[in-house]
Amino acid sequence: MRNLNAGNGSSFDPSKVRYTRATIDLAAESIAVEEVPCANLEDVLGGFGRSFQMLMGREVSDALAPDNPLIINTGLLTGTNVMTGLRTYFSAFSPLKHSDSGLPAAIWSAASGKFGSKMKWTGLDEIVVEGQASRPLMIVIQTGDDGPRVTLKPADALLGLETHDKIMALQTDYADAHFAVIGPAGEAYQSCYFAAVALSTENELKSGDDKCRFAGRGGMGTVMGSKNLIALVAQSPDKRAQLAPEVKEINKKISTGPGSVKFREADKGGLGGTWSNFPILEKFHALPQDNFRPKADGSVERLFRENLEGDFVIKAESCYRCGISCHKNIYEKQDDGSRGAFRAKFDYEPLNLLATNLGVHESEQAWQLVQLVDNLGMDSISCGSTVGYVLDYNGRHPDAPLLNGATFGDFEKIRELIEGAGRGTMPEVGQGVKRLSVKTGETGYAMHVKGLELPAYLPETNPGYPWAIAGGHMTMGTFMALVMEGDTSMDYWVKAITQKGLYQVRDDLLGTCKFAGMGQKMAIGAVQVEGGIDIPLEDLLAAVRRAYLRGLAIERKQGYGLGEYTLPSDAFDAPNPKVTTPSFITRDFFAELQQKVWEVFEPEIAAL
Amino acid sequence: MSVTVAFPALFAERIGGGDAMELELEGETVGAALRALTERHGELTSLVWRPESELNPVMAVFLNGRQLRSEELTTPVHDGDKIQILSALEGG
Ligand code: SF4
Repeated sequence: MRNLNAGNGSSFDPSKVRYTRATIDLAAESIAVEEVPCANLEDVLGGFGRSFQMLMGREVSDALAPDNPLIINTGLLTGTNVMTGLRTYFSAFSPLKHSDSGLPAAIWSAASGKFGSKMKWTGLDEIVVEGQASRPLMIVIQTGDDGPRVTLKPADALLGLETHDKIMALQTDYADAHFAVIGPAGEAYQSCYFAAVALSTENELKSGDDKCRFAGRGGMGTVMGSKNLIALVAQSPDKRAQLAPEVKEINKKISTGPGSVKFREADKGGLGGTWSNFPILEKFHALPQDNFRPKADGSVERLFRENLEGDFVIKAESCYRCGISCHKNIYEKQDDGSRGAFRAKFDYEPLNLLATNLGVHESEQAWQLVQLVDNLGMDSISCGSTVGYVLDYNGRHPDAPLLNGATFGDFEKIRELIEGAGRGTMPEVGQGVKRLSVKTGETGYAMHVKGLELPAYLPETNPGYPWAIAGGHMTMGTFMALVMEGDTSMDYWVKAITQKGLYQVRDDLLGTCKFAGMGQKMAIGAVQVEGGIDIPLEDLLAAVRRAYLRGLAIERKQGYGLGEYTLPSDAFDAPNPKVTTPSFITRDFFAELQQKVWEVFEPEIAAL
Repeated sequence: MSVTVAFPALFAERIGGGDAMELELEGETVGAALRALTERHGELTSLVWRPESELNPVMAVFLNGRQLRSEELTTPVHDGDKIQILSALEGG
């Protein structure tokens, strides 16, 4: 990215910033690299702020068709010295998230690891992948003499390998590089709509353990597979600028301050990672269990971190140069107490949705399911929520069950369902819970909103879900609000959605991790020092808001009716008496909430 | 006793501040200092306390870097001590 504003003393002009984009037509196997002037601040910041502007101008009716562009980009702070500035974004129309009219919604999915930094260091800010290759291909991005060098290479040798095995195979051919790959699920794109993209980490490449990070939501691995694009390689020496004192201070706050405390270990003044949500949510019986229906029977406690410390060695590990170390990696414990083989990474969402929510409470079974989903290259949220529906349906219909008849807690059969989804032999699971529930005719307990499966927070605790534009918790920050404050007033929820929750997407432009917990002043400081742009906070927030509103605008363009901004109907019609958070989501409450939220958003969308 | 109470951006935003902030407050115990915080800023009451005057179970409280259990809010404090209150719940 080149910024011609620097040092000229005038106010910031986005058109003086240029980013480098490669447009790749896979059908023609042609590549064009160009410098593109930014049209606005969202273009400068990057991530979905830029990609959604391109998607807004496209007419796409089938996410698996060649005319669906796959945009791979970084944020302004990706590859900089700002701690957690590692994000890569994958944006496209989603095979999974779709309106009742059948049209696909736009989505982005983000991952850490080191691929994004390496891509940035080659000099490339964005790749737009068009068309469909006639043979399996990979994109190789390298540092050239006068800018990034982009080439296409055959990828036949990678076909059939699991995510981690693909990465390790690529590592033997490309030194000092990082990788983004699909797994078997992405290759089975016609049957698995929630395939993820796996990004390599330093730890993975050094240890040889399967510790990828995933861009999971919305089936970006499926789109990649539909294009016959199997992998991306970014090869560049590390390029780090000298650490400015201001950034040193920001990084210190990120790694030791209150914003990241949830994700750090106790010996770093932290609370032990997202996994620590288990005991807190269980206090309210709000921890999803048996397809989002907590039973308050205590069985979920077997997967509390404190109850696993004796059986495993739990090690906090991190992405490149991140002091937060949010990865809670589980290793076998040897007889002498030392660390044995790596087993899995226990984050809240995968552990809940692939274990507790499927009635699986044994740690040995839990880690196997978590790792199976990673190795096949699927989104653990969508996979877990869809399998949860199958188990629930089968419990209700023992005489005419779906697929293999699996029910809650039936580990072997659950494993079969996951394998079937990831290897493309069970499209009923792989095509997601909305399509499956429409086929069975039982939609009330299908845990999705707008076609995208719910993360591990109960719908009856979060009326903000419908206004999340790319996944229920990472793009609308209301998922904890009820548990946190217990406020059930209309005014509170309208403000929570329209004034606070949407700013959850700020980091999805900047290239930083939400786990950094950067306050707004820190973010603006980081943008100034490392991004080289001097803008007031109001401008940053206005750009984030416009980017978010574009997400809603694309949804409306893709046929979403106002009635689709709702929750699974069991949240209204079958309240769970075991849940002890205030029960307030009635149909009347929700109708009024919809009206008031749209009163705020609709004029703003019209003015975009 | 005069202690420092540090709180996260969520609290700071609620009371019109910016990023993570801290205040000097008076109290003989950890709980009393937190009470002083919510008496000064009533907007924080629902975040810190449940109606029955118990600590919100979502919150984690540290005294000089050591995490306290909710029944330890009666711990006496000394001049210059640092109390930190944070939300213990987060997604990902
Ligand atoms: S917070 Fe976690 S995911 Fe984000 S960069 Fe740090 S270690 Fe990686």
